[in-house]
Amino acid sequence: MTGTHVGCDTSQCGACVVHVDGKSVKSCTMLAVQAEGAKVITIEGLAESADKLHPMQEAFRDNHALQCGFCTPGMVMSAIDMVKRHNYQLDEATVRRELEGNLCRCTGYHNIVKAILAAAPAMKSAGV
Amino acid sequence: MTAETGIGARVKRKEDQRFLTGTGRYVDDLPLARATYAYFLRSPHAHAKIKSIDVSAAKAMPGVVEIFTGKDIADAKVGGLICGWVVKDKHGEPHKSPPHPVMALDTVRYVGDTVAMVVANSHDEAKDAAEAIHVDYDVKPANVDLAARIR
Repeated sequence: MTGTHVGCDTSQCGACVVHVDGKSVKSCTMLAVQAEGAKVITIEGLAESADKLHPMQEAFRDNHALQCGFCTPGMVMSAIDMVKRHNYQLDEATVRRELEGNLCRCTGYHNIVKAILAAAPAMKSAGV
Repeated sequence: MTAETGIGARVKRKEDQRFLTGTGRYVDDLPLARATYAYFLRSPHAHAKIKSIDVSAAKAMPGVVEIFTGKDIADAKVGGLICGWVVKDKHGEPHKSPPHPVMALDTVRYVGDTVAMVVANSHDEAKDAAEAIHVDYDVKPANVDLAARIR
């Protein structure tokens, strides 16, 4: 599986974010042995099928929230965690603050923020 | 009013599918069985003269293929990084540009300035060997306050 990326290896860029037992974690700073017995979800595990993507993935596509795509898996995983922690209620300022741990060189973040704001209600009605 | 098709219609990108599902093929994902890996040794000083670089211990380390320094590049007459687009003045003369060596030659001018390149059979072997390179720096003061410097 190559979806989770090594960006900086120093826990600054967020390209490595995965979910461990439901929480977003920067995997570059976690030893594999620490995940023993835990449920780990990576970007590959989000979509139901190639045709049915997670609402967050759909929102990223609809809102042109990616260009080269390298930061995208980490962005999507962080975003899903952010939506859930804020109980599907987000405003722009909150999203921008919560994205501090995810760096993007291509997009300027504007469409990523739009995508996350669009995905929150979509996730709620989809029950995910 | 956005059209459904044709001019003015929204067109979704084709590449997003693989990037969003973690099935992109970036260079690091390509299965190149016999590829070597490069690791760059970088200056920890903002401004310093390089007095010497000793790569002997590093070259002997496991998996190391070769090690290059700025001097090796200069000796091989490779030349500096060119400006891709040369601007000419009204007489047709090309713009003047500084040397831009590929790696630092005598002076490092920022933290992270490249000092040596280690090529090895794996990333970790290259990184381990880079840590065995001994660089003798003559550390100089660094100007980080532009306003103070101009005065």
